[in-house]
Amino acid sequence: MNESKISVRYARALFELCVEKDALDEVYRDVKLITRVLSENPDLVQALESRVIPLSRKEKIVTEIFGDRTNQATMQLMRLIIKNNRESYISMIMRQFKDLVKKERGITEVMLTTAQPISPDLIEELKQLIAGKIAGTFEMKTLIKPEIIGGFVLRVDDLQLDASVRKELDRIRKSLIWGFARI
Amino acid sequence: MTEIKPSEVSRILKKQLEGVRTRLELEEVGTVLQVGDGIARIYGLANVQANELVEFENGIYGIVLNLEEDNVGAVLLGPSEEIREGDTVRRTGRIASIRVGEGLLGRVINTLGEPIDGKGSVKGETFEMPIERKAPGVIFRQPVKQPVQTGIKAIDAMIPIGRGQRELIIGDRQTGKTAIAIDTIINQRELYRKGTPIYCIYVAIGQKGSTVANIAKTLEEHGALEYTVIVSANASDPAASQFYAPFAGCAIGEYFRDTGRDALIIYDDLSKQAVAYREVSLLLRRPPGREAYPGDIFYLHSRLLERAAKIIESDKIAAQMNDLPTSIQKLVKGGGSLTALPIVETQAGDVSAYIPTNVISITDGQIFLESALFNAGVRPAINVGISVSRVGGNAQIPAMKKVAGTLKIDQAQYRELEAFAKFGSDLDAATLAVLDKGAKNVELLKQPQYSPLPVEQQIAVIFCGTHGLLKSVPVERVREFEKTYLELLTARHKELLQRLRKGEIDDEIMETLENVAEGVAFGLKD
Repeated sequence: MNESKISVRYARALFELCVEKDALDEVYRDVKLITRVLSENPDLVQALESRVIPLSRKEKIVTEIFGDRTNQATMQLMRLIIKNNRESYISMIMRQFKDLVKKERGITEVMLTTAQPISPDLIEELKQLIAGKIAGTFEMKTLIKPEIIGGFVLRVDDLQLDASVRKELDRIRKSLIWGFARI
Repeated sequence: MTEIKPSEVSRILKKQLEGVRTRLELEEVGTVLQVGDGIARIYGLANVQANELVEFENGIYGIVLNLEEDNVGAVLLGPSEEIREGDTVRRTGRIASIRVGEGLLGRVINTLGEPIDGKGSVKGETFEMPIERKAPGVIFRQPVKQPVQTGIKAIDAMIPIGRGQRELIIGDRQTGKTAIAIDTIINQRELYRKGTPIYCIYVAIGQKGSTVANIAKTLEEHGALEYTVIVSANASDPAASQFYAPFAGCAIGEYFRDTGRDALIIYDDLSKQAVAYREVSLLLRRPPGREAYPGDIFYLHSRLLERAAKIIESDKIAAQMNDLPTSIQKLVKGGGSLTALPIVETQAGDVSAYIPTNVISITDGQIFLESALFNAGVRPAINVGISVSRVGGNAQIPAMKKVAGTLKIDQAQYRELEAFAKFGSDLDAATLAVLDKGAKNVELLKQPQYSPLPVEQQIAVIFCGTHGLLKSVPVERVREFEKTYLELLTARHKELLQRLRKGEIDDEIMETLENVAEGVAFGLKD
């Protein structure tokens, strides 16, 4: 059984409902909120995926946490997922939905990783540079990862430009060991 | 040994560092969703191809096997300890391949082509050969007609193997399957010394590291390691490494095959490869079939074994072979061959289990080894009655074909009457003669390990058996007879042996052999 079918179907259903009701942007925000809350609260994930806690209680939990901050469509989706016992697929469904919206709206996700925090001016400059190269709007996130030692890693959706010092050192190490660039 | 100056070392290093490219490249990436049990599920990598190599952040490689709607399933070719959820994975753009060259001979490598014998990196020029490749088409092949001499009397006489054939070695555990393979490799030493070698590749799948080390040592002691490559995916290596190891070995064999040379590859053993593939498939959630093996387990073995072939002599036609890797396009020559000796382990002699039946239907014959024979002292424990080589006489030199022609039938008759041997003297003369001859032939066919016999000696020995020259020699002294007989021949009849080696046999040779045999038999009769 191909499990991808499950998350794709739920995401697509929610997407089409949103397009009909013209609530796409709102639900997109809701989905991002839910994803963040779930990733920051593993207890909540465990509670939702639990086989022991009854359906009604799970619904109550979800309604209490998200009820008044989210669109009705979002809540309907959550209740449907719980009713059909597909809680373990929530994160994949959310991810698929975000992808669908991004494709529809032409939004690109940009992630900039640096070893140390950089000045807001530099970030603005980079944003201008990227805006010139990408069609549509983009959302930029920054991440601090000391392991890259220096330089930066710029990721635009599925493409990555790795200009970090760690990558360079890695390349040197590989060429010394293998004698030729082994990609 | 002259001293290396410290300045020389740093100068060399500086040159290496300067030569390093600093160009930035835009890479296609994905994110790890889930990792564990040797499998990683990756999000993204929208344009990745099936069977493509992908690289994880910590340098481990993986091969993409599952392309699903919302994720990509990849098998890891290394330990999964340092890979975390959220790690970046990048495409390499390369379909899994291994770098092959003359420098691999004498080395022990892993599935990725990396040396694991501690003797430094692989020397010399290397060419990139794809691990998965389509077998040569019908037009680029020719029938098998040259022998691969295993040095084992029972095999070369009755179940001969030809260059380009696939012959399965099948039996229970501890029946001597690997021993046959090793003896075959050792027997190629003479050809190597003459300059027309059959290069050997031994693929060890899921075995103990100590076993592989022992094999490497044995081959080295017998001077066989110089023309052998050992590809090792030990039991502690990830399942993906284990099931790709035979393909990596095959890629090495194809390098020799497509450059006009002969190669022999031994897969020890395919049962373990099937188990590793089953493990990977189940973890990738592919539906299990019979005995929980995935549906394409037959295809796994058939596409591997089809790549063992005898290539057509003509260089021009061979150069147009389908799916020829670009790296060796200029080196292609015709007339090469790749012979495969897959090994399959049965449980309690059950050859009708799933994997054995699959592989039997793919190969061009099988050598059955039985525990009962092994325990009764018949070693190699080959059951000649049910062992078959579909290439047969075409792969024998004329002398051997003539001399061993009746051997299989004689032994078949012997086996039929074997049950009556218990009646002892109550049998008629003809039956007793058949029993006597058969028993003595069995003795003649016994052979100690690591002692392959050159073909001319085999012919001489079998000649005695099939022509009834052992009538007066007691059964227990047949091995002694063989030893003395061969000693005499090598000491006093070198030219005769040379002629036999070329495949010649005539009345004069046969008479000389008879005389020598009678002389030895006389000394041994009771």
